[in-house]
Amino acid sequence: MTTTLAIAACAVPFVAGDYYTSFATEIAITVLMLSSYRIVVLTGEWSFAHVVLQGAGAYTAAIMVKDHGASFPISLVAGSIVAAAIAAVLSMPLLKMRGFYFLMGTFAAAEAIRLLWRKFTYFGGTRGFSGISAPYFDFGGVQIDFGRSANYYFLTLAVVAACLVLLWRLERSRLGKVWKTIEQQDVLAQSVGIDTRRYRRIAFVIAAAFAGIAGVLLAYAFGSVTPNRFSLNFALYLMIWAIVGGTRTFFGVIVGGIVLMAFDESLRFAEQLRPGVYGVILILVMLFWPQGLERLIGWTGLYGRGVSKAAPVSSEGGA
Amino acid sequence: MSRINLHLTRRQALVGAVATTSALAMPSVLRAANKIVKVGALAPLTGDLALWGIPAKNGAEVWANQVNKTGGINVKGERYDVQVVSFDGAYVAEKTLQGARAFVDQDVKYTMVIGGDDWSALQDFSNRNKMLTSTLYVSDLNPTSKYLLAPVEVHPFYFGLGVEYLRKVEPNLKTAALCAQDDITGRTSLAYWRAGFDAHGFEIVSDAYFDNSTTDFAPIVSSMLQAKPDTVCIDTTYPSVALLLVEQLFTQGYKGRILHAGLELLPDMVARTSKEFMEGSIAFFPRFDDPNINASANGFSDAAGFYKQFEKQFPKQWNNTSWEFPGCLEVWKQGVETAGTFEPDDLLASLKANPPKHIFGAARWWGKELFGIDNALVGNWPIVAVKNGSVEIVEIGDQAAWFEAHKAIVEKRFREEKLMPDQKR
Repeated sequence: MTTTLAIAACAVPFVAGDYYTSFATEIAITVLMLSSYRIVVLTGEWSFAHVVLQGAGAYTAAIMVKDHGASFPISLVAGSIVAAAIAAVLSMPLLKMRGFYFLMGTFAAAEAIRLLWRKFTYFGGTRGFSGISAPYFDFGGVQIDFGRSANYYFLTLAVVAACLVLLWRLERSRLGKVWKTIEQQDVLAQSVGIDTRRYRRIAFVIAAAFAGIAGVLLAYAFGSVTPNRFSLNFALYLMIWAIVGGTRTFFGVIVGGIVLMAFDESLRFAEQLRPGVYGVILILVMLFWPQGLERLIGWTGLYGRGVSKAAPVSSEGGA
Repeated sequence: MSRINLHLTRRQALVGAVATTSALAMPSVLRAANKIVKVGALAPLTGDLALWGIPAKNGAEVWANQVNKTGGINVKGERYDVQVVSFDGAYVAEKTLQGARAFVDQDVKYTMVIGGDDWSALQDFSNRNKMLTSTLYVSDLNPTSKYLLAPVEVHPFYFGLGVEYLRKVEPNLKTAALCAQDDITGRTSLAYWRAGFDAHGFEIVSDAYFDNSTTDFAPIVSSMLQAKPDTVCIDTTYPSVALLLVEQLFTQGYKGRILHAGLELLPDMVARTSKEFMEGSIAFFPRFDDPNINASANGFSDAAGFYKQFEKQFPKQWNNTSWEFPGCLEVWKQGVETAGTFEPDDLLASLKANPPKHIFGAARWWGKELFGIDNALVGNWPIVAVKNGSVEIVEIGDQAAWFEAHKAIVEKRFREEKLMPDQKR
């Protein structure tokens, strides 16, 4: 399955035009966003701040490129660090809350950050940044212009694949098991001496670091960064994709993102009716497959080791 | 029930089949005589700004149908039918860029955007792919936007004319209150309005931006009215927001002129307030059923006929942008037919050498001194006022002349908002 997906992903630029190649790039970035978002969900929390933390990475890349002429690798690292640092600061007040209160807290924090971007000209104000030049590599005479959509797609694919491997390993490490324990049996975890707030903080910061990387990829993909791109609207979409895909398994959110983005794209013919059609179909999916596409496919049995179909789900955990 | 017996010989059947097939195929055979050229409407078709995007796209389709009926576009003796393709950019820069990519894949020769927030991601792509594009926002222009034209509306350059007109008809007004949402559209608009009020001796007594997500406008309006303004400018707020602001102004007892670029939802405004309340409000977009439209929009082929056709094809959907994309297409058509090519570099050179007719008459290429590039076709622009619940053209003004007379003030107000090309990051 993974091999088939990988082959299909690599074939995109050879069979599709510029538009579908860049759309596939956007899907790859979204997959990274969803997979990193799932880390927060693993601890039993849902957040509205993840998209803004992606924005922190994107804005860092824009400033690094525009003001300091930084290269792509440096921007990538800087974007990740800045997003993680902001998450670390935010986590101090936010992680004193749980469940619905945490969700509302992340909403407020996200709006405050977006307001900063709009108000201060250092961040480009309402206009944001444009003209972020695409990476250009010169390896001893071999030059690659990543301004070409196919080249940038492969660069994105490589970065996202590396991140997914890291996330996969992280989930299977002791840390990942602790996160799952906190989500399923929070009080029990505390009773055996696990500092749940500390582990939730670690999850929030690590997720932000990957969201920052996704933000840097996004900034280079579009050559621009605007505050509107990181609005509540996009945060809601991220949440919907995660819920519809299913968050119990590593692949659930990935499938959710790919299927729903592709589906949304396929509805372009409906023009102004598209959001309505999309909404109706989402409602139908939630009615008939409330536990996400992963349950429909039956992946919990394949990949969700240790998670039975009857596994308890906390009230905050949702899907 | 009676039964009909049909007896046909083999020859009769063959002749019948050939005749039927020919009749069915004839329209497409006739249509196939012309080649196809694609133009793209890259506009918000969903969300709050769909009220601008959908009429613009629909207008482009009506225009294309009319042009195709009269023989299409003539390029060095070859006839081309115009096909409009569209993409929902949702007024988000990144989505709009995706649309531009789709258009390049489809070999679209000319793209039309609303402008403002949706242009920012497009520029590099536009230069890289020589994507000839039109915007309705002159402030999108900058020294490197080589393939971007503002061939019809040069928002916000007509606002100065509005204040000039207001001063003329209401010489005793002294103060103005302004508000708009905090984004490129709002900031560009208010910067120009401020210059207008400065130039014509108004004192600005209240001046505020509100967040895009604002839904309760009562505090914003009460704050404005506390300063007791003689006139209130709510421009350029988005149509649904303008409606709520007008409703609040009415509820809170405001009595005076209202200024707004489009007054797109004027019938709803009248319904929620009164004809008397809206009387005298100033805007800048005539309806094409205005009795003076053919004389005013003399750069547009049969404006009144276009309105009738639009109403037939899209009943009760007419809006300000319905004629703006068609206006952009008229300029492009003139350019293509003069240059004899769709190739963007040659077409641009030809357009510059032979300035086409602007929708409201003669115009010239302008923009270098403020935006670093002469890609705005600046001509006359109408001022409309609300009379008995509908807008009517009250004056036609020269946008470039107004700017020339007040350019120092405009530049000062633009600099305050960091809108000058050298201030953009």
